[in-house]
Amino acid sequence: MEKKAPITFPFAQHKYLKKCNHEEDRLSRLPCEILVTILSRLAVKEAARTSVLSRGWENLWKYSTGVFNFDDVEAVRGLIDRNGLRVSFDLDESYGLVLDKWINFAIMRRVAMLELDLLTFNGIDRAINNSIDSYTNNYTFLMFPSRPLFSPSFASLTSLILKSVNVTEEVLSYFLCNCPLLEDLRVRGSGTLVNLKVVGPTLKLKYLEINECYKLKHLEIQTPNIVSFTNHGPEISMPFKNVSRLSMVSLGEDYCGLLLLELYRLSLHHSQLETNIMDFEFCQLLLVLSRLETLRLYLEYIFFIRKELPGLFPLFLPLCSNFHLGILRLSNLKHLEMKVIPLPDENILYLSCLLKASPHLHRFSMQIIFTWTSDMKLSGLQPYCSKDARKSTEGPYQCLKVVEFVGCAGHQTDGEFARHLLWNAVSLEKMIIDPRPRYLGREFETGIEVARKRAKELETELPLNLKGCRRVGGGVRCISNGRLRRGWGGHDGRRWGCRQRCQAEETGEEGDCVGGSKEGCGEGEAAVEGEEWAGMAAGEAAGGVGKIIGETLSQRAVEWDVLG
Amino acid sequence: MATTTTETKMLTLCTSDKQQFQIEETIALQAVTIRNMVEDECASNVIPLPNVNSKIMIQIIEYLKKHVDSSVSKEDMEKFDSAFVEKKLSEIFDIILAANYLNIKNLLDICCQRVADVMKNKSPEWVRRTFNIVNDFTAEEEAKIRKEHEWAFEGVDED
Repeated sequence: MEKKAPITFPFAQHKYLKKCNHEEDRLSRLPCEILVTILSRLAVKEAARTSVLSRGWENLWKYSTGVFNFDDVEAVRGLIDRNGLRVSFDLDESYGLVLDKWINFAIMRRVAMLELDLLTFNGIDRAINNSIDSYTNNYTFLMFPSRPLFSPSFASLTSLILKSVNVTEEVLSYFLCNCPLLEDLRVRGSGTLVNLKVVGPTLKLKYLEINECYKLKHLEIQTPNIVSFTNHGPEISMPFKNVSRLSMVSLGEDYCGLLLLELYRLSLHHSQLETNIMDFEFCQLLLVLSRLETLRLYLEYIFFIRKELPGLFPLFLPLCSNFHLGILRLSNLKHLEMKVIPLPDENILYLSCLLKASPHLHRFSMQIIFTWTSDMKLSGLQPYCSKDARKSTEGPYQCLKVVEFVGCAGHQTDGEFARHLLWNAVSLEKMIIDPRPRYLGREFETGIEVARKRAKELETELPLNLKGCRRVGGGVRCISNGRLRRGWGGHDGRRWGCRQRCQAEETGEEGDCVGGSKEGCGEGEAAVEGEEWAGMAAGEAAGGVGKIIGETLSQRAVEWDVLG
Repeated sequence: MATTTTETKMLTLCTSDKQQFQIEETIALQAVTIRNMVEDECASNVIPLPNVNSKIMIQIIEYLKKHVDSSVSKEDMEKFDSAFVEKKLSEIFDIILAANYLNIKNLLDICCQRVADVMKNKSPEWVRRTFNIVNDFTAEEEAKIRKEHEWAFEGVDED
């Protein structure tokens, strides 16, 4: 059936070509996705040949999902570079044997990195369109490996990444035992991983990532070298034992909720006993937490999963009280990242209990996703009002220097929190606000104007006693505590001009008033000059989406010195 | 399931050259684009299809009529499909664009397969000639790409 196609027309077309010298190239003008569909019907080797047809074709084949002739070792050789083998195709079970062949080949060549990512192209659609359940249940990933691996030369492998591949405990244990240099192990989307023990004093493993393995029931980590642990997945008990070097933990989905629940449960227990004797597990967990330098909590799924809970607040309530009791101490924490979906108009100040428990926190980053309610009126939002946010009950955040808000909408929810930080982070150097709100199920651009406006309003009420010099969307404000700041134009150019210059002068006066020194005035002029120069520079820069950035003098001066 | 209705519902399709085609709704609904229009009730009387001309429409209706018939066996359907794509490439391109616009997946698939079959095992020079693709690489550039993908250029048919 396929044989008869090419015979008839080329000749006819050649004849036509003679008549009309410039026959059009209709093939190349087809939409890219159709060309990729066509190329996907060729073997990858054939598709790869189209790279020389013309410039337009050079990279098209790379998006095709055709079949490799895996026996063609030359083809594999072409794809293995010195560092490793990365197989990123949408392959199903039927490719198991040939894939093993490839992997054996790669291992024989002593690669350092082996990555399988078998959910690409079509797979992306599958994963996005389906819910988590059907993602894991209906689609069978390829089982890796399909035959037992026998290789004497795993010695070179330092990084093993298995995405959308089914692996079992035995296979991972085999790799852990037989790869003495393995430092980085990442498993994503395995539907067959139930238990995993990463145990052993001699393991070199530093980075462990177990994501979206929804069948996982038990995980145990007991290895002295582990530095970073990521788990976005189901609710299983906390796995840590003897992890003295663990400094980065990233948790998501149910597992993240579990951390909070566990702390909740244990602290309830603790407060009921009203003794100083604490549960051993609880102590372990607190110890692990106290050593962390980076903590990432992706709480966005919990909102859906725990429908019985009115938002996150109940989970955080005991944490707040724990802080009062001085039990939860994130004494080494420098970076805290959170992703949350608050209830409509929810006051999320309770989240600050984590910041309060982290005396050395340097950088705080929060991404907010809003739920869209039908009665939500973007234009008629209440202005920020409460003064509660400014009051600090627990003393200020001494070390917090950088605050990043992603997805600010200008609602009370994020506004209050941002204000709270502005007033309480006494050594704040940089505030980054990304006013591109995300509403679930809404266009990305929804409410962006309002968000920008609110972000600017926020700037006008910056406390005067605050150290630092702040700039909003390109305009500089100098707020002095005696010494004036130089103006500085920033990273993202927006509309600048006379107005900003006036603003700088005006705030210069402001600074003068407070500081009252001549020296201050002099620097105030410098601020205007700097402003003008920076204004030109930033005006030329591409106008990105408005970020609102404030920086302190010290940073600014350094930058000025370098660039001026 | 099938209830014998007294009258079959008809849809009128209007092509780019203002030809009107009356076809049974069940036939037309195989095109997802048309189905969406009907479901969204945007289709009042006449469904305008500005991206399809009547010449192509006739062929597409022929295809849809065959494929709506559940009594046709799998082999017969395959025979029909392989005969259906026995057309000049220029026509195949027209059908691809129309099938893409009307969102008729099977039809798009068999047409893409047909184009792929043409390219199968052929040298890049042959493909360029056949499809009038202008080589806009310099000789050095082309040589460089060939070197990069050396493994892909073996086992090509004679032109």
